[in-house]
Amino acid sequence: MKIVSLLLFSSLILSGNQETPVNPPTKPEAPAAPATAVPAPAPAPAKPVVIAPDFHLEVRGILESTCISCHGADSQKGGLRLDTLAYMKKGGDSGPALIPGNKEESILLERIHLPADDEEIMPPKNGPLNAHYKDILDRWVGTGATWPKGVQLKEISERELVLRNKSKNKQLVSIAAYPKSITLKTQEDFNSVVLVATYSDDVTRDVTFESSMWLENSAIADFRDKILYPKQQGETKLLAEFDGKRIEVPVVVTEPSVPRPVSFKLDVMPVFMKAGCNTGSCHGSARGQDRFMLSLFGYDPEGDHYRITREQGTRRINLAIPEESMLVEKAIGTVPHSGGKLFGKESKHWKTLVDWLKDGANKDPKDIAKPTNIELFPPSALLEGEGATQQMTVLAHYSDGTTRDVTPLTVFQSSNDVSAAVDEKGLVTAGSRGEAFMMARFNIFTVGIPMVVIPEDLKYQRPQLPANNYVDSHVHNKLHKLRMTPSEVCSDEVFVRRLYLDITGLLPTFEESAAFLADASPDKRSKLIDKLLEKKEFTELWVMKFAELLQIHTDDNQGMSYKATLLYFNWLKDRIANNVPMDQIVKDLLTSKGGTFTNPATNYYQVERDNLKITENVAQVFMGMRLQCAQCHNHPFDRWTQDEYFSFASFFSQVGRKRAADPRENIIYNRNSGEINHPVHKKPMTPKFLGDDTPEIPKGSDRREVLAEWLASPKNPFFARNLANLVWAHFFGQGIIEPVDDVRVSNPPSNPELLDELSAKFTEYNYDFKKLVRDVCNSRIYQLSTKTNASNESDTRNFARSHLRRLRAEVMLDVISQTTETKNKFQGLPLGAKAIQIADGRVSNYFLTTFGRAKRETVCSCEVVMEPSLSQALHLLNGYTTNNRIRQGKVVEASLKAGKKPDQIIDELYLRCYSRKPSTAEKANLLASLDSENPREGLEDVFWALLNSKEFMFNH
Amino acid sequence: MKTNTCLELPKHFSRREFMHVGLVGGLGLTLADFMRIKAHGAQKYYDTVEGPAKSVIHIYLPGGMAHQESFDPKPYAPLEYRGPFKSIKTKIPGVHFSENFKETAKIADKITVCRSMTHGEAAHERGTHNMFTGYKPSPAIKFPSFGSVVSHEYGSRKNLPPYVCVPNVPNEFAGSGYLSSSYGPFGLGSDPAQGNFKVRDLSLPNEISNDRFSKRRSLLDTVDDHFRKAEKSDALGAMDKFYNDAYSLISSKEAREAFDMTKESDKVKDRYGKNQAGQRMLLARRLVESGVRFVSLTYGGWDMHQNIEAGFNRQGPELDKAYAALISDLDERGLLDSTLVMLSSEFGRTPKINKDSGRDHYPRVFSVALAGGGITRGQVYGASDAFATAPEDNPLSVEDLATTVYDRIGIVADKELMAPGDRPMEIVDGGKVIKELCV
Repeated sequence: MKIVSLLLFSSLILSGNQETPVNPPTKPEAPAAPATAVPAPAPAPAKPVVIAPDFHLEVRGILESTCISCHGADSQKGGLRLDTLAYMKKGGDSGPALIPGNKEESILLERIHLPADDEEIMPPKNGPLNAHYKDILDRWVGTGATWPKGVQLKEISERELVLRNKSKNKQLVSIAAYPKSITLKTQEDFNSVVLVATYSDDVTRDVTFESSMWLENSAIADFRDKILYPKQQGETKLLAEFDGKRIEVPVVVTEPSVPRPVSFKLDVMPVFMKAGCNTGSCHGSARGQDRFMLSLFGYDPEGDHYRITREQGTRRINLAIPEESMLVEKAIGTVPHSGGKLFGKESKHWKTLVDWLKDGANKDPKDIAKPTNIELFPPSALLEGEGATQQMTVLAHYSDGTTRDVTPLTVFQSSNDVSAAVDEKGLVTAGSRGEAFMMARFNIFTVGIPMVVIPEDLKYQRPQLPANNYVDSHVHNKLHKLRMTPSEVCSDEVFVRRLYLDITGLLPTFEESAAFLADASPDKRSKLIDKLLEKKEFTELWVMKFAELLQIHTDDNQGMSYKATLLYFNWLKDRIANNVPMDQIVKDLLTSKGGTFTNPATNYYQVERDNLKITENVAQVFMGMRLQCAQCHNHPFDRWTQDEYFSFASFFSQVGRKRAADPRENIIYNRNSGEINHPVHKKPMTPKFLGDDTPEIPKGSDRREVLAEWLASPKNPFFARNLANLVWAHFFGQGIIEPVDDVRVSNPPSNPELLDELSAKFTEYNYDFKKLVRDVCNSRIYQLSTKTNASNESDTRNFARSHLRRLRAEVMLDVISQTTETKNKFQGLPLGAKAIQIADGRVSNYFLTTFGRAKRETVCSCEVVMEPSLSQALHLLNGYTTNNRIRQGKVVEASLKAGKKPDQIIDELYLRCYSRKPSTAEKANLLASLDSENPREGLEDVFWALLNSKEFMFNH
Repeated sequence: MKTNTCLELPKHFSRREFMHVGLVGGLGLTLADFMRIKAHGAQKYYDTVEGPAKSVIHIYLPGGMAHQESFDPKPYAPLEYRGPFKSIKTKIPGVHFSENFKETAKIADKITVCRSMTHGEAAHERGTHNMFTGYKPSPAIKFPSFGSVVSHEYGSRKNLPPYVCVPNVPNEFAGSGYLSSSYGPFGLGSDPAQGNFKVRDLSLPNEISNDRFSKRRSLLDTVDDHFRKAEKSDALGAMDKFYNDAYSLISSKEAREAFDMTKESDKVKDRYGKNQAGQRMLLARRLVESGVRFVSLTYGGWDMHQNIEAGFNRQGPELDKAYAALISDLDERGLLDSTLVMLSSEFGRTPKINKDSGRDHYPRVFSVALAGGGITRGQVYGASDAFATAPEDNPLSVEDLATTVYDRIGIVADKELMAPGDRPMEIVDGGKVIKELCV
């Protein structure tokens, strides 16, 4: 009933405003749509003149909400469809539903006017229609039932109708059709079309079924239910029109009468994937299910063909009566199947299997085209209002240059059902406010697109914000989509502390912060950034971070002696200190040869000696990808196949290791031979760049040289991206992709445009990350305050504000040493060395371990733990790190001896720990607690309290 | 909603239905119940009560312990499936364990072995995720561990941290997931099997008197005040909470003594075994006896791809002795009925011995042992088939296991907790309480 009243309401409003229409109706340029013009103002009521109702504003809503669910593309009760005028005229079992201009003989009208208790009344539920609706339909038929060209109706929900009406107040900016061009080859081909409207506030709407679409030459193809089917060889255009905007999609049809035989790999295997047969929980499990195994997500088509057609004789198929094959009957559930019924008899999937069996269950010809990639459309969406929908469509490209619409064979998944759920047909429905990533999996490919959902009627206006550089523009654009306003810029006191901690891993000294605060020049923040980047502490901090990635630690089992470890660490330090570009460092590591003492870079192959593990580490550290899964089967959440894993591993199959004269030293060399066999077919794979080409490798050359030349270059898009993301993560506490070393399709960047530009800049800067750090720190976004506003309170991933970050273990210990003026002693380092200078991952102490220092046993970024814990609290309260150091450093004692007053000492302790002076209230409270005769103990307790405080242990 | 007997909730009990006033009568809810539901908004809410299991000891065997070599031997299978070990009779008539579990066989009448545990995750980290959280891993959300949920639902008892890991936090899934990190575990940082075992920093330094410490605390409040008012973040709240936990622990002698292994006699230590398995389990007993709600301990490495015989000979006896001692000791002290002991692993191992005389990962069927805390005694629940390749009777899913354990603790696992983005998440998604496992 709500639908009815709402329709009534909106039509009343609209018809009452005809002189000054708020929402002008669609004006297609198609000549055959005269009725879409605004009706003339109503004449005087005394003389009834029948006025044709407006199709878009009045008629279509009634049909869409009451008729199409039973008489549309999905269901045709009584053999009748009412979604196009042609269908209406054609009619169903009882003859034509409608004769334009003839009210008396149009069954459509006859049925809606029947008495409520008549069995034949339409609509059968929630009927009869109210008088107003009946009147609209009467007038519509009576005045000739005008129907704008190219309009096909679809069932619509109450919510969608509300949203559609609201969108009429928006300003349409553009429309886009997907795919952008269509080729149909062979009789079986087809392609669906999606039309997306973008409004001035960046909101997008799926207007496929609100638009008019028609073919310029309908002899070339059929266009039904927004899907094109081939008819005749030739070229034409599909024209789409919405709200006065028009777009063209070129259509090419070739070989329309040539049948396409069903292929095992291209047609049958995708059915297994779509129906879920080859997932890990069913037949894709390592041992199969109920004694029938399929390779997980189809990594082994040959094996799957064998198991279906030959294993256990031919029990699984029946070529004489294909429909009665066990393979088919299990799938449609006509024989007991633990997986249940997967699809119906006569369904498309059923037909694919049966047709393949009818053809003889053949293997594919050797030269059959392979899918080379897939595209998911639309490229992104910003949905407004719960219940808004967007249909996605998937286009596969093949090695012979053809394309296919594989939407029905694609597995869809949403990363966040609450904000945007997706059904098996690829229809996305918006839920509550948030972001979701839509993933599509077909064949070996997984791709994804970002979607944002915002509530309707949000009070928001895009703020006018200054942008210091490209970082700000990209973040501001994303925040606009989310309808968030960033926080204010932080104060100078906060900035100076934040920057020192992030760039040098130390606090500013009293003099340093005072000088900065006193500086009145407008570019003082930039100047400070430049100054700090030249400090040796900046180098040391990044040496530590790279030492984690390179797992620099002693390990007797791996033959990593202390000497080798130290040489390796110093080699790295030397390079970073001399600002050797990152690509050069990585090339030196990957291609290293010689003794682990004489050429310390060779330790890269000593720290890890399993060549498969090295393959995985190279991918994880230098490309940010976790390949591990693909060692045994195609990666379930990413694009990597087992073939790709072993092709990549082949670059490392010839790394040789032998003992040097010194038993602590090893020699890494190129063996010039040796292969790693693929576990399925037991043959070696040709070396192939991950996700890229197969290079020419001249005989006798070191495969690693070829790899390094590609890996650390712009040809490998992941290299710069990964390092850019690592740099970003250091300054924001989380990556644009998070975790930083888990880059995969299903874990997309929170701001892809930002990451793209950062990596482009990094490449442009010749991999000098100092320059990249400069960009990041100079951005307004880095300098935001932690203080939230109402719109960005809930933000965690989009950098709308600064987040508190606990100091990492090494930095925290160094800062405690710095403020207490005490010295550290670590094994192998001189007294007074800093924790960030420790060369060996094995060297630690209780403080560092408790606060989550990485042991460098793996390359995983998860080794560094930042979460607070009870042990940390206990240690700062009772442990030696705070208590002993306050006494040993004698900071308070020295100040008292120098004749400073408690009042001044408190000021200095605050500046020392917080880079700010205490407030009057803070100081008064603290002073009151002191014993005036013997202030030392009390002041030391104040110092202890500062070291235990949150303001001290967090960067803010 | 009392849950002293296993309570199975209506299956399709959606949030929306719950909110529907018309259902109040139908579900037997009082108006007060309904008002409380309203107060919790769209979240499915149930009161958490004291269940039969007042504490939980979770013994986790990392790597994936073979079910064939432990609780589910296949003596009649061909050698390549049966493996190198014999099977022995247990206290449960007709039930055999592997000979690696001689001591456990003698107390089998006190425990329940589930031989039909099953899930689909054959990678260590994914299987571990399942067995620590009750959820399949998700690309979008981090789930809290059992211990963290217990910590969230009950808080601390007798000044002790609610969730303790012995000797360390075992893996990244043992943490608080989407819940605040203040519900994270207390990892001891040292191993009770070491002679000089001591949990650090539990007591005030010698020179700091109680008076001076309270003065320090008030100073800390003063200097923290500004920041606490100006900033808001989960890490900050969690740090504050850990400081409060630390104050309780420091101020209670009884609580501190829970960690003091010198209070145990040599005889008791020998009974458990003076090794990692024994001393960790003994400490776990001390902890739950003193008030810790959830203890998670690990022992050994069970990823035996090679030479499974040597592997079990090395680690089996210690585990067997310690586990049997723990169950008997708890029972003798009258604590078994209120302490649920769960022994689990990320998965089992392949039915057939591989070319390296080991077994590989196998999640399709494996065994979990439960005891005490409202779990039946002397029972085998579910069965694997003849070659231990798949569950034959009563397959036990991760969700069902988790829901049953939560039920015994007093938590209705259908309850929703709030994940970031105001996203209510069931503690367990779609599990049911296995009545046959409950007393």
